[in-house]
Amino acid sequence: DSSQSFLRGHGTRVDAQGTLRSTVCGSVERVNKLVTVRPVKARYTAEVGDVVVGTVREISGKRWKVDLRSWSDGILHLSAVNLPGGVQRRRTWEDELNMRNVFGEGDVLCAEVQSVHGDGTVALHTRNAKYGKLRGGQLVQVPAFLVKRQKQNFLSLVALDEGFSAGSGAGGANLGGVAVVLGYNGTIWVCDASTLDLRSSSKKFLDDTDTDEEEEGGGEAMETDHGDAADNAADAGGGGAETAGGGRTEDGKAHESGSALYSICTVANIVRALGRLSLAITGESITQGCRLAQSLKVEPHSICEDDFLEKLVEQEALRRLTVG
Amino acid sequence: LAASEAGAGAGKDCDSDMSISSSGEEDPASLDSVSEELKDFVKLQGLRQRVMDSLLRSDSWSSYLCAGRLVHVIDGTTDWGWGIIVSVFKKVKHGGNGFVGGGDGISSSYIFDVIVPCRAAQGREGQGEGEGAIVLPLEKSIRNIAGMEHKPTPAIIPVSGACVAEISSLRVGLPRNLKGPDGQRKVQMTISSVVKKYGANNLPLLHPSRDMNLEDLDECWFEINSLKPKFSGSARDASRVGTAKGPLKKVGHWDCRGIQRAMEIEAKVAEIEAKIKDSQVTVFDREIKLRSEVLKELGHIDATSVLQLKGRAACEIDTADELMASELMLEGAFNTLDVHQVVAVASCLVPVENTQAVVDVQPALKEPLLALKAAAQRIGDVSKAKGLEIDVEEYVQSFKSTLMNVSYSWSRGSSFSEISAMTDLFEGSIIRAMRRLNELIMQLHAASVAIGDEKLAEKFQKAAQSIQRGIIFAASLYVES
Repeated sequence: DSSQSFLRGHGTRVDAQGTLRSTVCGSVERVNKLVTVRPVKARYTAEVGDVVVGTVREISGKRWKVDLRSWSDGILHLSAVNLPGGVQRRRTWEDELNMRNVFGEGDVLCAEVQSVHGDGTVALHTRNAKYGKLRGGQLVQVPAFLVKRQKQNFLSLVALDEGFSAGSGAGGANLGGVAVVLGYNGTIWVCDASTLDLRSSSKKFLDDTDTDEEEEGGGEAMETDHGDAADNAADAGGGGAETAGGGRTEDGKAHESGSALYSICTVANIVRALGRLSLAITGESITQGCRLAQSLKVEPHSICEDDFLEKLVEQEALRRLTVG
Repeated sequence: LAASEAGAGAGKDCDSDMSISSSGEEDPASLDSVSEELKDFVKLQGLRQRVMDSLLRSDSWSSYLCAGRLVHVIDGTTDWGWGIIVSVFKKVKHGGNGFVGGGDGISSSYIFDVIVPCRAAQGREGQGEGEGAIVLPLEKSIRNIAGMEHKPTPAIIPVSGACVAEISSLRVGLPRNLKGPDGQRKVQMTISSVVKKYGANNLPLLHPSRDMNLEDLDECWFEINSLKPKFSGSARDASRVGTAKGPLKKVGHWDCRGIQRAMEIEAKVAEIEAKIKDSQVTVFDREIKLRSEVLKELGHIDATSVLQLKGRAACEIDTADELMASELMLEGAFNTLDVHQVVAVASCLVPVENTQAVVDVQPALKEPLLALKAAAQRIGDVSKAKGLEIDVEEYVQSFKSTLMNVSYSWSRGSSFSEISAMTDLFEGSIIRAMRRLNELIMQLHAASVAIGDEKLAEKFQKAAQSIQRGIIFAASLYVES
């Protein structure tokens, strides 16, 4: 093919002889005359409009640097967040000094990519009720390419008697329901559905610093829990005990019970398992994994063990056969 | 703004929806089993009723509906024929009397005693006209199956105003004794001679505005006269109103009213539905769906509405038609062109005023122009196929080649006086268009960076630089910068 009639997209180049060659290992995509090669496994590259979950790495000069597990940190500017109390005003030196009260170092937050500059700098913003600090849950890190672009990032899984069924939308306010925030950068947050609700409603009343501190304490306990691979299988059980401590302080609600933590741990470990098996992470795959775990009566801490992983793979293979 | 409009529109829609459902509940009779002819007949009767109602409301009705007046009696679909009014009285509405239906129109509260040729019920020939005698409408054909003639016997029957279909302008003198055989014979002869003279359907009628001084009924009258010929009936019909196709089903008066009411409700429902259809919110929703379909077809978004690479490239462009620009770029139309041709092709996407002169593009630009028109045709066809109301010809013509020669020459280095001589556009328009063209080319550059083709991006960069010179891009006309 004459290289003139094709447009060379990302991941391709024309060599000295004039043939179009791929520069990365991946799958070829063609749109009209455009040829792109999408790499199989790569660091997350931010696109405008992506929802990402990251941890605050440092605070300096009116901006937070957020670790996105990408080529560079995301920059969250002070003017790109909603100030507590919901006021809209010019940010003053007081706001700058109080940045730690909004997001401190180590906080997990959910944001949207506002723009990507020519040099690769990623600008984030949290100017929406559904973005902001995440608390009361578990952080799971998986390879970024497993989280594909989809319509809904904020999933709410409802625990029924027979099993889990997934719904979409932020916060179903269900007892024992689990909410999952899928970040395109491969970081996933699993928490109780009601805390997601609470957080979005508490966006308006962030003046009650008491709850903030408690939740921060709970949040930090969560932080130490994140990690990938099956080595954490035992830790997940231990992490469950830790969350119990944090959960009790933050959940003023009477419904707080072991079952909510159980669900969160199950879902989080399912996500870890999917990550380990390199299966795409979507609402359906998480739900099916949870159903399988429930039907086989597998405890959360044994989800990441090899026997269950095998069964998960079998289920996926079966699904692909029937679909394809 | 859009949200508040949507709210207001949705409010109206709610009302419309509610009124449709309540109308639906009111309608007991289903109109599915009713034939078209019957519906037309009910409509005709409804119109006649309107005329009657308005007559009875006026002050001088008694001078028209008086003794001796010839009237046509139709009850449901049963045609009793022409008769003569004997007397009239107004029925007092009793509370518990189920006779008079509420909202039935003023006509039904008037009862006319009309003497009409009937035939006695079978087996009761000659039983007399005492109370309780049963009479049947006269059959139009005077021969029955057995071949016997039915003797028409005039009888006085109470007719509700709602059953008086037509009022003739003829008035006859009534004999004093209507019950005796003499009187009856006279009446019978009068009626039959009148009917014979004019034909049953052609008796001279009282005109609402000319004869009865009723206002605003001309349209109604016109419609009545246009519907009437349909029901001239067949000759051998048995006293039933019929069309050329045959007699209508036997439907009683109240059933006819029910059908009429059902038709009215149907019309109302259709009106509300049309209103909903035209309301802004639904139009907006519809258009959004269609446009999303077009985007899916062209590849900007995938089946689950997730933005694709082509869509991201199209997002970079806003000074011109995004669909066209991204289509051109991804079809490789710019690949084979040199820098100056790129400028010329991009200039077709810039909106410009109409000129009188027909532009003859340079030979180097003819092929690219054809490619551009082909791309426009493709987009127009896809849009039309998905259901958008678009005139494909007009869409293709909207990309004008007026600026092609101008921008080509400017890019190659001509002076401003040379290029303004090439076209009859105003100089100011040329400058505005070229500046806009510059913006467009920079956006095309950004789009090609998004796609990942560096060669193309470089080409656009060079193209933008080739036109950024001279008086067109001078920051100030008074100071040399």
